[in-house]
Amino acid sequence: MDLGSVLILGSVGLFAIVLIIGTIMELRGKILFEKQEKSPKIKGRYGMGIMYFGLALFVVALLFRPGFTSEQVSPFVWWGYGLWIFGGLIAVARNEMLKMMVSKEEREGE
Amino acid sequence: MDYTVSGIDISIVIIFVIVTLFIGWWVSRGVGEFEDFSVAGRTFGPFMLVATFSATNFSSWSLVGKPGVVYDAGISVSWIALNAMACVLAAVIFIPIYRKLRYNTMSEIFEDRYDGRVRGIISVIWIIADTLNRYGVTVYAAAVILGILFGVDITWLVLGIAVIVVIYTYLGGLRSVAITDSLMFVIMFAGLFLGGFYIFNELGGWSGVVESVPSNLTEWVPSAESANGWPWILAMTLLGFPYFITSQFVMQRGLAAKSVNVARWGLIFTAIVAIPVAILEVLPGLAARSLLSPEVVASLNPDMVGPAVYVELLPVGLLGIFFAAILSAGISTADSALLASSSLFTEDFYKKWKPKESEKHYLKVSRITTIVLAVIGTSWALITPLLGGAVDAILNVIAITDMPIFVIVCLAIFWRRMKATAAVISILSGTILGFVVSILGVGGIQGLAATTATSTLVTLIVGVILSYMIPATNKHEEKVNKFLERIGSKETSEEG
Repeated sequence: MDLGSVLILGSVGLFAIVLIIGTIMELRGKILFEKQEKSPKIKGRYGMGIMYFGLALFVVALLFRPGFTSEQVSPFVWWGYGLWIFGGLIAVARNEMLKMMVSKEEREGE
Repeated sequence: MDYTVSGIDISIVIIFVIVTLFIGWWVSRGVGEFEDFSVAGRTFGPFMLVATFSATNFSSWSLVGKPGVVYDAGISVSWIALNAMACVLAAVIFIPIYRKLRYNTMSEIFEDRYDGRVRGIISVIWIIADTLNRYGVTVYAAAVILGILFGVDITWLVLGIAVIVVIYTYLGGLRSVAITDSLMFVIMFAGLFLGGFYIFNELGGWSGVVESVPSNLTEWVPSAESANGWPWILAMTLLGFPYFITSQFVMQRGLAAKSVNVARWGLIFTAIVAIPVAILEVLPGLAARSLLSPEVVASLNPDMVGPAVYVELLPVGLLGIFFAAILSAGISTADSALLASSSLFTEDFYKKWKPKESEKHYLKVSRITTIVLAVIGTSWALITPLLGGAVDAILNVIAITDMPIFVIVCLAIFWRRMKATAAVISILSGTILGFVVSILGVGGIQGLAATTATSTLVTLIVGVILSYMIPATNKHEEKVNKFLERIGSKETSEEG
């Protein structure tokens, strides 16, 4: 087996173990990520910025396909896809919110 | 091709069914009210959410339909599962909004922001689509494959699968569905892992698989001349948004999370887990090029290409896990569709008809509705063979009915000028024109992209133009202000 196979099967194996242990913990009442300690962030939303850049890269790379080969556009499509998810992960970790989703009180506190 | 199923494999499937039913009974002891049934008392943690989101998304079609499509179309078919990237947008923006509005069903947003007409239309569309298209067709797909493998009449298998789904959904509602989904997801993961391991072992890893097929089948982004070309990929990505963000069928789980933060992390992890699953799903279709002769493939029903590869590779015992995975994939999608429909009926129609009943009464109604809808959906499953190509119709139905709903939700949240009457007319316009485009076959091999673009753009354009034309009333302004105030309110401690 090559590196690609190990990565694919390894990630599935890892996710399976994490999901089994995590679900058992949850059934016993231990819930992770329940509380959000950070106050909502509406300025400097880097996570959302990365997400939108990733989406734009993904869409533009697909639209350029008629002029280029699959090998040429695929890396950009995948980078766009990856950045979209990575940006989302950062946005959730930092508790980034749109302005409309935050109360006046929380906005003033930021 | 001859399929010989051993007693060990059959025993594994039977044990799986018994365990599933036991879970339904066990969980039902904690269900006392309608909220327990519909949103599981809002108690889910992130891992159970990932399992239930992913199990619902991973249907029988993933294991049995896709490999046949991949055999002809190649690796780009993985973009169907990769559209789980929509979960990221749901996590970052939409789920915090839904949770602040504290809904039991997704359709509540339409009455909160628009009026009862919009909610009624959308509930009816969802109940029909979920009961017939998602429940009925999924049960049929699972029964077809198991029927061929076990040599049992499809009618009996459709009825058997329906009974299993109804029993544990009736007893435990969403909690039971989510816990059984978690078990099923592990079995599906095991099936995919074992299948992937044996295929990689046989063909020399991922690079060996890629080298064993014609180069045009390994293109991640084929040209527009291919049915799975870049316009189709764009359409698939777009279709993920209504599926993961606004459909009751999927988002019911997000509403059931213990806190908004749990729901956000659960959705992010779901998008990540979808990546290796999407690749493993297409493996048997690619491997069939080397492991099965063209004559054998030509003699098979396209849905049997994937199972034929696994039957060829997997030893006795492990094959039983694969059969259980097919059954899991089918029933984990069917249970969600059934539950979504019964919750919608109870919340949107029955509670309005009889608003002063107790929560226990609504639970009883929801359970009876589960049985009634299961009978309708199962009848549909039994006539599915007469309809022809019904499984392929799932994507078109999402394009026709769900895209307009997604557009209307976005306009509801982000554009205060959007009016209720404009919403009603634009949904109907987008759905009807999308249907016409689909029936006429506009766009040729890129028909799905044409249908998606039509239903989306028509809904958007009609909604915006009409909202500019219709004057805003005081009632509209009050309703919008109240709606936006709730979205912008401070989270309570209960919400985390």
